[in-house]
Amino acid sequence: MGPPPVVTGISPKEGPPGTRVTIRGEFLGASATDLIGLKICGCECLLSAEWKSKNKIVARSGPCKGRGDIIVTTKSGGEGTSTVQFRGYHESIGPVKESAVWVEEAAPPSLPWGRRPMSPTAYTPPDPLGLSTEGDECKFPEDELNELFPDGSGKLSDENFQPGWYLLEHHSNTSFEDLKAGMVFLQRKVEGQKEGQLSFLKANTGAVMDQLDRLVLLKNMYEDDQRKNGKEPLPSLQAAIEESISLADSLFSEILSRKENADKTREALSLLTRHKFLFQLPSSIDKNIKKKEYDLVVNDYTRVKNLFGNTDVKLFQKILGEIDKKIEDLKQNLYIRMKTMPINVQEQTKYIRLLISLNWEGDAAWTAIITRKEYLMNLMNKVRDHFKQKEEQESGEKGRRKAKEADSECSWSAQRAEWCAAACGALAAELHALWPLARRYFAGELAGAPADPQRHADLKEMITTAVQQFSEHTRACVLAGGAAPSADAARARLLANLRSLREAYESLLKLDLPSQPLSVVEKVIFDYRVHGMTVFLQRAHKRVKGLVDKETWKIQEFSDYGAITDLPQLLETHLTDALSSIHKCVYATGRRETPLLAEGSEPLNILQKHTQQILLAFVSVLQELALQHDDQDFNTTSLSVALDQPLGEREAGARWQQRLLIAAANAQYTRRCTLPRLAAAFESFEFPKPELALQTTKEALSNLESSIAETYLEHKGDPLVGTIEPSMYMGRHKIDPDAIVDDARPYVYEIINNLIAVHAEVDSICGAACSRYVRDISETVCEELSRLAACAPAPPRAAAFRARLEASLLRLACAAHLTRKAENYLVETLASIPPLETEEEKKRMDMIIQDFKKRMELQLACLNCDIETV
Amino acid sequence: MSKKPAAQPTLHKVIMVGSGGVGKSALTLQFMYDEFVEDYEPTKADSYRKKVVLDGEEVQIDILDTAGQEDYAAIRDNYFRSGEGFLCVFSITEPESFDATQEFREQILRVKNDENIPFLLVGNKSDLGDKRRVPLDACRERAAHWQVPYVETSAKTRDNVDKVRHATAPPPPYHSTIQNAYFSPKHLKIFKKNGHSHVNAYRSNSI
Repeated sequence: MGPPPVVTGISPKEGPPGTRVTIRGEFLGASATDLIGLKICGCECLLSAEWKSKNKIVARSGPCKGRGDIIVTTKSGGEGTSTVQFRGYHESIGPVKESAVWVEEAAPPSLPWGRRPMSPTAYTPPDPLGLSTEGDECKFPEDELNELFPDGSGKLSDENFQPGWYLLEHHSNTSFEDLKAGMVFLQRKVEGQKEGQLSFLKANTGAVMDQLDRLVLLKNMYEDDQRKNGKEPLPSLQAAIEESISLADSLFSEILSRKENADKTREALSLLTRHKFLFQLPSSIDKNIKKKEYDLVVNDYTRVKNLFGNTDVKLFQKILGEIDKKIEDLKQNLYIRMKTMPINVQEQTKYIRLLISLNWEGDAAWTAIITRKEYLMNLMNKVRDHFKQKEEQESGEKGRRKAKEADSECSWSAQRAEWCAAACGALAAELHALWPLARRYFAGELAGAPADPQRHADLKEMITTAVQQFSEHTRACVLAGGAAPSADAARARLLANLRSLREAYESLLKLDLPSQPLSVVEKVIFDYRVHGMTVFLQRAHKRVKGLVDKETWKIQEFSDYGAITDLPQLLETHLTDALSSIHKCVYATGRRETPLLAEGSEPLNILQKHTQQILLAFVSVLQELALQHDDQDFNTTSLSVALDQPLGEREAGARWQQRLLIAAANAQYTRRCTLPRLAAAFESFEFPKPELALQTTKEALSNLESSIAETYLEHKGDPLVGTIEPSMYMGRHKIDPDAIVDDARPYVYEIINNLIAVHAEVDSICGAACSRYVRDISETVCEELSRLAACAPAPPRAAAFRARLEASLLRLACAAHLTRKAENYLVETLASIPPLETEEEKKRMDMIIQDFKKRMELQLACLNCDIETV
Repeated sequence: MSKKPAAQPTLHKVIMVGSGGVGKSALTLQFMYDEFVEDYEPTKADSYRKKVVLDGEEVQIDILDTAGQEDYAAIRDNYFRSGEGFLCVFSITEPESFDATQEFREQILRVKNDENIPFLLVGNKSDLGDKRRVPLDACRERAAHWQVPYVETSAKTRDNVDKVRHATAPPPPYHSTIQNAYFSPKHLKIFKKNGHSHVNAYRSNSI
């Protein structure tokens, strides 16, 4: 705040209104805009003020009168003070006087020749000295006059009239000569008044006499008149006047009443035209409603409310009432329309806005939101009911028509897919409408701010409920059982359902919904994916189980682990199929979805479990296949080879022992090759490896192999061993004990032949794996021999020799297949036989053995041939 | 004439007189606002007032800048009546204005009816030395004759204006040196008394 302005100079210091005044001083404002006030003698003169510098302002004085300060006000310094004063005075302006202000010529204030009567205030008595004061603009300072004549007055009519004041005020410039002349004039006037009545009468005798005559004449006339008309002339006059009044009334009353009527009509007409808008409004509202131009209606209504809302006129109130009724109807109508579903959001928003602008009592937007939600719920229920009904209908028809299973399945899944898509579409579409509406509602775009903070929670709950219902329905729809007709169809259906679910989810994500409903939908998708995975795995499981019937025992190839059928291949195919389906259909993770096979998650466990089940099912399939046989089969095959039917008589590949062996080979192949390949498949699909399942399966397979081996041995070795004893003692009593022993007994050959048969069988199927079976059988054979040798009483010499020979021959024959245990048995047997006593005997033994070798070369080769060479 | 004796500083009323166009307003504005106005605009009657320190006492000087033109001669008496001191200005380039000082002097004396009224003869436009047409001697002679101080000033160059402004020392009156306090309080006191008596006399006469 700068220093306040001070006015120290004024040029000129006095003048009539409109005088151009130069004001000087200090701090009169830093700029023209800083100057915000200028008062000269209390008159605001800012309008004419012209700011020149901080020391100078030029302005024109206002219509002020008297002496007064010049007050400058600036923004920077506030209201200022003045050390000098300006005096304004009003000039009397005559025709020869210049004036800065415009004088209304029509009413010259004091023109002596003016015909108009002068107003009393403007009346100035003529100068008593008979001198003109015009042109005397030199006013004697009023304050000085006041000072000189403290209780005097300059007005001639005042009691305290002071001639000095008067002269100073009016004649300060009059020359002394003039004043003297004025004095003479005044004296004459006074003397003229003093001369008295006598001289006056003298001078006017004629006129006085004349007046007297006239008065007499007047008196006479009056008396005459009185005689003529009686003393009272008034009643007759009054009667005449009354008569004329009534006549005038009768003449004009009609015209007047007509005029009145016309006036009234005109007034009414002008009222009508003036308020045409109001009167036409009801019909225009109807018209606009018919044309659906609600905006116009609202506009008109608001206007009419503003214009006539507070009217006291009955007619207007009536019309307003009518309009209000129409508007109420319209409101109801709009409200119903807003609530009537289906309706798109734009339209609904439009209705809401209209309702708001029509001052709807309720919360229109909220109602709309609730309605939408109800509609969504109903829609979903309807969708469900519709499809349920359709299904029932079809199942009814199916019952009647006994349509093919596959067909119905197909239609069923198609129905379900349709249902799912419809539900998804409904949810997405309705939430798309509902959520923006709600958002706009809460943003205050509709009906101002939401009234209740609870509404937020309500809305959230509404959406959550809707989504939950949706999830229930879709769960009922897609997760319900029902076997898929074929893998392709199932996959297609699953993909389609998943796609519609995901589309719905995507659209909900785009809506920026709260996370809770989203997670519900996501859960549905996730569960559906898990469901899909389970379905695929169950299918694989089923198919693997069905492999039992698929086994043709046709040998597909000779692997390192023996001849195998296509079972392991089928297992692999089925499982890989399932895995690839899973990978293709459900493994892929959509936006904001949980990965299907997260570490330690439920689906992973399911996958592991199912894999294990499938693999174990396969194992049990193998087992069943291997050990499945009928007793007859067993009986025929349980006979010794010698008694057995020739190989050619059986169906090729259908022989039980062969199947057993093939199963074993399959098991081994599965264990060694297929399982690692499956593991690799898991890896290639980026699924976690089902380690536990693989391990369990491996163990199960090993067990299976062992049990198969045992079974085989049981069924192959036991009869073989059983034949030894009878054969050994066959025709024993017929043999001369002292006869020269030159050959082994036939049982030895039988054993060898049997062994060859087993070897051949095993070899034909198991390849390198056969050694185990042959070994086991040789072992049992040796054990039996040793047992027999131990049981036999001390044999005679020849018998001993023969026994030794036989043992040696057997040892020779089985050399390739003897285990340590078998060796021990043979050594034991040999030890229990008395040793050879003579060289000759030894020689003979050697000879026989050589001979045996020569004779049995083929057989020995059969037994000892290396598997690899086959 | 000040009627407010209280806290208000003493008021001295000074009147600028002289012919039209000699530079009364220019001198006044130079004294008041240190500015020189080039434009010529005939004055009617201007009023200025400022505070100055005279002889250690703060006083207000009220300057009445009057019209020099003959058109306004009729109203001069009114102004002169309220004056307590006079600056009679003429232009040294204009002999007519110098001659007119005689009339002004007479009129003032007639109105004030006081031979000892504070009066200063001022020869203005001293910066226009080459156009000088009123000899300095004549000026001094007249001042001496009137027994008033004489000073030559230039409103344009502000020559001697300060001297008028800062006249503080109170030597005996009617000295012809510029330093002599034209605004001397003593002077003014005397004048005040005289003024009153004069007014009273006037009043009694006029009745």
